[in-house]
Amino acid sequence: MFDIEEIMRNVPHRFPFLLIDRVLDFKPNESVVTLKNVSINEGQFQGHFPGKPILPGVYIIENMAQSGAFLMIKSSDGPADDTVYYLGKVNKMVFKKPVLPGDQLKTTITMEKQIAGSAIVSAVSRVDEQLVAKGELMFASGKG
Amino acid sequence: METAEIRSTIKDLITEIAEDMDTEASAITEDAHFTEDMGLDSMALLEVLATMEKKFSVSIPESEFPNLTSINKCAETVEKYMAQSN
Repeated sequence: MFDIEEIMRNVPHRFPFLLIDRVLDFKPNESVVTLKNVSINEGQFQGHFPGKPILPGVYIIENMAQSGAFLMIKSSDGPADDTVYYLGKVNKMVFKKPVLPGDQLKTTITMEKQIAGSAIVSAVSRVDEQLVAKGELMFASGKG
Repeated sequence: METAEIRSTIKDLITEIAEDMDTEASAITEDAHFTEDMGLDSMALLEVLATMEKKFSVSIPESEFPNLTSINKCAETVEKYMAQSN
Protein backbone atom coordinates (compact mmCIF):
# COMPACT_ATOMS: atom_id res chain seq x y z
CA MET A 1 0.00 0.00 0.00
CA PHE A 2 2.84 2.41 0.94
CA ASP A 3 6.45 1.77 0.02
CA ILE A 4 9.66 2.67 1.85
CA GLU A 5 9.82 6.09 0.20
CA GLU A 6 6.41 7.04 1.56
CA ILE A 7 7.42 5.67 4.98
CA MET A 8 10.56 7.85 4.94
CA ARG A 9 8.52 10.88 3.93
CA ASN A 10 6.51 10.44 7.14
CA VAL A 11 8.72 9.06 9.91
CA PRO A 12 12.09 10.61 10.82
CA HIS A 13 13.89 7.30 11.54
CA ARG A 14 16.85 6.34 9.37
CA PHE A 15 19.57 3.67 9.01
CA PRO A 16 20.37 1.74 11.10
CA PHE A 17 17.20 2.31 13.03
CA LEU A 18 14.34 2.41 10.56
CA LEU A 19 12.46 -0.74 11.50
CA ILE A 20 9.56 -0.84 9.06
CA ASP A 21 9.90 -1.72 5.35
CA ARG A 22 6.36 -1.45 3.99
CA VAL A 23 2.84 -0.45 4.95
CA LEU A 24 0.28 -3.11 4.02
CA ASP A 25 -2.87 -1.39 5.21
CA PHE A 26 -3.73 2.05 6.54
CA LYS A 27 -6.93 3.56 7.88
CA PRO A 28 -6.42 7.20 8.95
CA ASN A 29 -6.67 7.71 12.73
CA GLU A 30 -7.74 4.07 13.14
CA SER A 31 -5.13 1.47 12.27
CA VAL A 32 -2.04 0.54 10.31
CA VAL A 33 -0.45 -2.79 9.34
CA THR A 34 3.31 -2.75 8.67
CA LEU A 35 5.86 -5.24 7.45
CA LYS A 36 9.49 -5.65 8.46
CA ASN A 37 11.79 -8.13 6.77
CA VAL A 38 14.27 -9.43 9.31
CA SER A 39 17.72 -10.06 7.81
CA ILE A 40 20.92 -11.61 9.17
CA ASN A 41 22.74 -8.56 7.72
CA GLU A 42 21.32 -6.33 10.47
CA GLY A 43 23.98 -5.27 12.98
CA GLN A 44 22.18 -6.31 16.16
CA PHE A 45 22.61 -9.99 15.32
CA GLN A 46 26.38 -9.70 15.75
CA GLY A 47 25.84 -9.46 19.47
CA HIS A 48 22.31 -10.76 20.04
CA PHE A 49 23.47 -13.46 20.19
CA PRO A 50 26.73 -14.71 18.65
CA GLY A 51 25.86 -17.98 16.91
CA LYS A 52 22.20 -17.65 17.89
CA PRO A 53 20.59 -14.66 16.14
CA ILE A 54 17.32 -13.51 17.78
CA LEU A 55 15.66 -10.14 17.13
CA PRO A 56 15.81 -8.29 20.48
CA GLY A 57 12.42 -7.67 22.07
CA VAL A 58 13.14 -3.95 22.28
CA TYR A 59 13.46 -3.92 18.48
CA ILE A 60 9.93 -5.33 18.24
CA ILE A 61 8.74 -2.57 20.58
CA GLU A 62 10.57 -0.02 18.41
CA ASN A 63 8.98 -1.54 15.28
CA MET A 64 5.58 -1.07 16.98
CA ALA A 65 6.45 2.49 18.01
CA GLN A 66 7.54 3.43 14.47
CA SER A 67 4.36 1.87 13.06
CA GLY A 68 2.36 3.97 15.57
CA ALA A 69 4.32 7.07 14.58
CA PHE A 70 3.49 6.42 10.91
CA LEU A 71 -0.21 6.05 11.78
CA MET A 72 -0.28 9.37 13.64
CA ILE A 73 1.89 11.37 11.25
CA LYS A 74 0.29 10.09 8.04
CA SER A 75 -3.18 10.63 9.55
CA SER A 76 -2.30 14.26 10.18
CA ASP A 77 -1.25 14.81 6.54
CA GLY A 78 2.46 14.26 6.93
CA PRO A 79 5.17 15.50 9.25
CA ALA A 80 4.91 18.90 10.88
CA ASP A 81 8.30 20.59 11.03
CA ASP A 82 8.57 20.86 14.77
CA THR A 83 6.37 18.05 16.17
CA VAL A 84 8.09 14.95 17.54
CA TYR A 85 6.29 11.89 18.91
CA TYR A 86 7.93 10.35 21.94
CA LEU A 87 7.29 6.86 23.22
CA GLY A 88 6.04 7.52 26.74
CA LYS A 89 4.93 4.23 28.20
CA VAL A 90 4.78 0.55 27.36
CA ASN A 91 2.06 -1.50 29.05
CA LYS A 92 1.40 -5.21 29.23
CA MET A 93 4.03 -6.17 26.64
CA VAL A 94 4.48 -9.89 26.16
CA PHE A 95 6.83 -11.76 23.83
CA LYS A 96 5.53 -15.16 22.83
CA LYS A 97 7.98 -16.46 20.26
CA PRO A 98 11.52 -15.55 19.11
CA VAL A 99 11.78 -13.59 15.85
CA LEU A 100 14.60 -14.85 13.62
CA PRO A 101 16.46 -13.78 10.46
CA GLY A 102 14.23 -14.61 7.48
CA ASP A 103 11.03 -13.85 9.37
CA GLN A 104 8.55 -11.26 8.16
CA LEU A 105 7.28 -9.29 11.11
CA LYS A 106 3.74 -8.06 10.53
CA THR A 107 2.58 -5.47 13.06
CA THR A 108 -0.95 -4.16 13.50
CA ILE A 109 -1.44 -0.92 15.42
CA THR A 110 -4.92 0.12 16.50
CA MET A 111 -5.64 3.58 17.85
CA GLU A 112 -7.41 3.27 21.20
CA LYS A 113 -7.56 6.89 22.31
CA GLN A 114 -6.04 10.13 21.08
CA ILE A 115 -6.44 13.55 22.63
CA ALA A 116 -4.39 16.72 22.40
CA GLY A 117 -1.19 15.22 21.01
CA SER A 118 -1.17 12.17 23.28
CA ALA A 119 -2.21 8.72 22.14
CA ILE A 120 -2.74 5.17 23.36
CA VAL A 121 -2.45 2.37 20.82
CA SER A 122 -2.67 -1.40 21.00
CA ALA A 123 0.00 -3.34 19.12
CA VAL A 124 0.10 -6.92 17.89
CA SER A 125 3.03 -8.45 15.98
CA ARG A 126 2.82 -11.72 14.08
CA VAL A 127 5.12 -13.92 12.00
CA ASP A 128 3.35 -16.34 9.64
CA GLU A 129 0.07 -15.38 11.33
CA GLN A 130 1.44 -16.57 14.68
CA LEU A 131 1.50 -14.14 17.58
CA VAL A 132 5.03 -13.09 18.56
CA ALA A 133 4.38 -10.01 20.71
CA LYS A 134 1.56 -7.80 21.90
CA GLY A 135 1.07 -4.86 24.21
CA GLU A 136 -0.02 -1.27 24.56
CA LEU A 137 2.05 1.83 23.79
CA MET A 138 1.53 5.44 24.77
CA PHE A 139 2.87 8.46 22.95
CA ALA A 140 3.30 12.07 23.90
CA SER A 141 4.09 14.75 21.36
CA GLY A 142 6.31 17.72 21.81
CA LYS A 143 7.98 20.48 19.89
CA GLY A 144 11.35 19.12 18.90
CA MET B 1 -22.12 1.68 41.95
CA GLU B 2 -21.92 3.97 45.01
CA THR B 3 -20.19 7.35 44.83
CA ALA B 4 -17.69 6.28 47.51
CA GLU B 5 -16.82 3.16 45.55
CA ILE B 6 -16.30 5.14 42.34
CA ARG B 7 -14.10 7.58 44.21
CA SER B 8 -11.94 4.89 45.78
CA THR B 9 -11.57 3.03 42.46
CA ILE B 10 -10.40 6.27 40.84
CA LYS B 11 -8.03 6.96 43.73
CA ASP B 12 -6.43 3.52 43.29
CA LEU B 13 -6.04 4.17 39.58
CA ILE B 14 -4.50 7.61 40.15
CA THR B 15 -2.12 6.18 42.76
CA GLU B 16 -0.92 3.63 40.21
CA ILE B 17 -0.44 6.20 37.43
CA ALA B 18 1.16 8.70 39.82
CA GLU B 19 3.83 6.11 40.64
CA ASP B 20 5.16 6.61 37.11
CA MET B 21 5.55 10.31 37.80
CA ASP B 22 7.53 10.02 41.03
CA THR B 23 4.68 11.73 42.89
CA GLU B 24 4.82 11.63 46.71
CA ALA B 25 2.02 9.44 48.09
CA SER B 26 1.06 12.31 50.44
CA ALA B 27 0.29 14.52 47.41
CA ILE B 28 -2.50 12.19 46.28
CA THR B 29 -5.71 13.48 47.82
CA GLU B 30 -9.23 13.67 46.46
CA ASP B 31 -9.00 17.42 45.90
CA ALA B 32 -5.39 17.64 44.72
CA HIS B 33 -4.97 19.05 41.22
CA PHE B 34 -3.58 16.43 38.82
CA THR B 35 -1.08 18.66 37.06
CA GLU B 36 -0.37 21.42 39.61
CA ASP B 37 -0.24 19.29 42.79
CA MET B 38 0.55 15.82 41.52
CA GLY B 39 2.68 16.56 38.47
CA LEU B 40 0.72 14.41 35.99
CA ASP B 41 1.42 15.19 32.32
CA SER B 42 -0.96 15.12 29.35
CA MET B 43 -0.16 11.49 28.55
CA ALA B 44 -0.91 10.43 32.13
CA LEU B 45 -4.21 12.33 31.95
CA LEU B 46 -5.13 10.48 28.77
CA GLU B 47 -4.35 7.20 30.54
CA VAL B 48 -6.62 8.27 33.42
CA LEU B 49 -9.46 8.97 31.00
CA ALA B 50 -9.00 5.75 28.99
CA THR B 51 -8.72 3.58 32.11
CA MET B 52 -11.83 5.12 33.71
CA GLU B 53 -13.80 4.46 30.54
CA LYS B 54 -12.76 0.81 30.62
CA LYS B 55 -13.21 0.30 34.38
CA PHE B 56 -16.66 1.87 34.54
CA SER B 57 -17.81 0.85 31.02
CA VAL B 58 -18.69 4.43 30.24
CA SER B 59 -17.98 6.73 27.34
CA ILE B 60 -16.67 10.17 28.31
CA PRO B 61 -16.58 12.74 25.49
CA GLU B 62 -13.35 14.53 24.63
CA SER B 63 -14.95 17.85 25.64
CA GLU B 64 -14.82 16.71 29.31
CA PHE B 65 -11.04 16.22 29.16
CA PRO B 66 -10.17 19.70 30.50
CA ASN B 67 -12.53 19.16 33.47
CA LEU B 68 -10.80 16.01 34.71
CA THR B 69 -8.48 17.81 37.11
CA SER B 70 -8.87 15.92 40.41
CA ILE B 71 -10.14 12.63 41.82
CA ASN B 72 -13.36 14.35 42.91
CA LYS B 73 -13.92 15.94 39.50
CA CYS B 74 -13.29 12.58 37.80
CA ALA B 75 -15.81 10.86 40.09
CA GLU B 76 -18.43 13.53 39.32
CA THR B 77 -17.84 13.13 35.58
CA VAL B 78 -17.98 9.34 35.70
CA GLU B 79 -21.23 9.46 37.68
CA LYS B 80 -22.76 11.92 35.23
CA TYR B 81 -22.10 9.66 32.24
CA MET B 82 -22.98 6.46 34.09
CA ALA B 83 -26.38 7.99 34.92
CA GLN B 84 -26.88 8.94 31.27
CA SER B 85 -26.14 5.46 29.99
CA ASN B 86 -28.58 3.77 32.43
